[in-house]
Amino acid sequence: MLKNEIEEKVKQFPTYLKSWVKTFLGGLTLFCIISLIALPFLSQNQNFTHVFLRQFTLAMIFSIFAASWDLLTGISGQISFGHAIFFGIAGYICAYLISYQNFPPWIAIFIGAIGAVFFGLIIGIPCLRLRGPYLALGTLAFSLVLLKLFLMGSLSDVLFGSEGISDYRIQISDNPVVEYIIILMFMIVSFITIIQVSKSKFGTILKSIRDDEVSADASGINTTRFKVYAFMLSALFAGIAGACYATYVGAVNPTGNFGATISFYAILMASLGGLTTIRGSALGAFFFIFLEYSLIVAGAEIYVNLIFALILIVVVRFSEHGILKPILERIKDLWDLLLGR
Amino acid sequence: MIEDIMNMLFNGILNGAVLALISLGYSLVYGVGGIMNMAHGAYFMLTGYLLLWGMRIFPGMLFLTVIFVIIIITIIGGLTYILLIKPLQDTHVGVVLITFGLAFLIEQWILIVSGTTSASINDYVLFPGTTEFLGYSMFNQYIFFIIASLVIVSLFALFISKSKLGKSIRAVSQDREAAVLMGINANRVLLYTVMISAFLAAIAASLYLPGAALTGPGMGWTYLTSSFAVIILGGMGSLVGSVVGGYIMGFVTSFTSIFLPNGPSWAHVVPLIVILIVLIIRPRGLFGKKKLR
Repeated sequence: MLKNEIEEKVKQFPTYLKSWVKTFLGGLTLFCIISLIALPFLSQNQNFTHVFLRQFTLAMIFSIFAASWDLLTGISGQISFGHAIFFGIAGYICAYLISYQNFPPWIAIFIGAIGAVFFGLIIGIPCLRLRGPYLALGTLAFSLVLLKLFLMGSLSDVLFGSEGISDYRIQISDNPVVEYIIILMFMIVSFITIIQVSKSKFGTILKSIRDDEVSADASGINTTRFKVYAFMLSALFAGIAGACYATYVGAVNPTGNFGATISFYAILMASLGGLTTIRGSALGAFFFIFLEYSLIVAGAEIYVNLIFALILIVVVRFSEHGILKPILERIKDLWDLLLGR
Repeated sequence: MIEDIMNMLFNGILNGAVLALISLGYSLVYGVGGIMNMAHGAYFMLTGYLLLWGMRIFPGMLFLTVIFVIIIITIIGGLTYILLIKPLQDTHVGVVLITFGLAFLIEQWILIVSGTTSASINDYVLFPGTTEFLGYSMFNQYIFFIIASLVIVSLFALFISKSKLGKSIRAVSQDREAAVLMGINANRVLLYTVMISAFLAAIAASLYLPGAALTGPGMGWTYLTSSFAVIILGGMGSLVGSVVGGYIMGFVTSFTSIFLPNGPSWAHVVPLIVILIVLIIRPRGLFGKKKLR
């Protein structure tokens, strides 16, 4: 029965793909993916590959991270202010395995992500007694405490102290182009999975919990179980992003991987793009990374977070749906005009 | 040993007084409007830095500066409500996000102005000198602070139960719609509530922080999470709970930092452990009547 269904879906897939590409959103997504794939082959210039392309890689890592936050907060309505927990834990596990146990980066990234899922389970269970804003503070408290544990001098033998781990081997590849392609694959797979999950029956259940938990409970949904699932799924993608980030930087340290700033970045990127629009977090991440890059180039590095906090306040205050939806509507109008519809 | 015990008791009362004042305001705002103000810790931290800068600009006018700083923080609290919270009241996520953004903005602003290094505002104590009691010397400033905090808490209880504004605050917290129908301007009551909470945080900071240290702009988050732990312990929205919880938390923290090995660093973890235990054993807290919202 199930096998037939799957076979049917596989058979229908090419026609589905064709019709999807013809729609506005599908065409735009495909255009973005193709241009991202083509990008590294545009130039062999050292400056281009080692500086500019690396910024794209960073933006892609953070878009996975922001999308995972959006899955938890936008889709299932569980506000998390401590997403850096999963990000940092996965990064630490990955760095430890590569540097001390000589694991290949591939396996280390996956084990790191699984470690983050485990943390999602541990943190999800006590935190799910909290609702709404209290969950936000609970997760924030968790991440601050983890940060303090990792910074603690007396535990530095076990948790590496404030220095963290740094090793030249913690990287996916020497070649930035190869690194870029691998991270791009990670990003595409993560986004497809998250978007499909949010469209599936599971995603509908999560949305019903977000909109009205009592009614969801009354209609026979085990809300606690699904909230834990949402936590774990979100932690998986945040963990992938965190492990990739550790390999990208080549080192991990408490403030860089656990700091409240990291959680803040996820919140900022996702709400900049617009909550519940998973694609928006990619837009937010790219916007964010390149604004940061240009500020650093302009020598105003110290003002980066100040400006981003201002942007967050303005966006949340004046535009409930972020910047993705308005931009998409404008482009769609232009598109229709060009096609003469 | 006796010195250790005295140290623990005194520090416990001191921490308790600070936490009680902070979480009283925090709990009040949540109880009345269902508003989670993430910028509450930032008010506390900002007070310390404003005091530092204010004393550099106007040396020698300590009392005036302290009063001035407290007024500024109260106004900032009011502005937070009018400009940021009020337009977004219907969405919980929006309020949390925007006040979080505000707290981050304040933190980064101070980081730019004064850097990460911790500053000492020891010279700005209102009551210099120490008093000996059973061979244990205590700061006069802290003795004054503990007494002042007790007085403020009792005045606050009187204000809530007797005054007209206090009664309308209670009315809004019990049933907002009915209160509005009775002719209470709920938005104005909420505005006053947020201002009161900022005022309490500012008083706690301006009396406690001289003598302690300004450990960098990130310290606002620490106080935010501790007061969060306190109101979880005391019960959401319960004012008695937040005072009692504050003192319990203060004693537990000072006990940990003095009697356990590596105590001072473990003391940071205490709030989390308290949150966990309370959530598992008694989710509504010591004095909480309502279920979690």
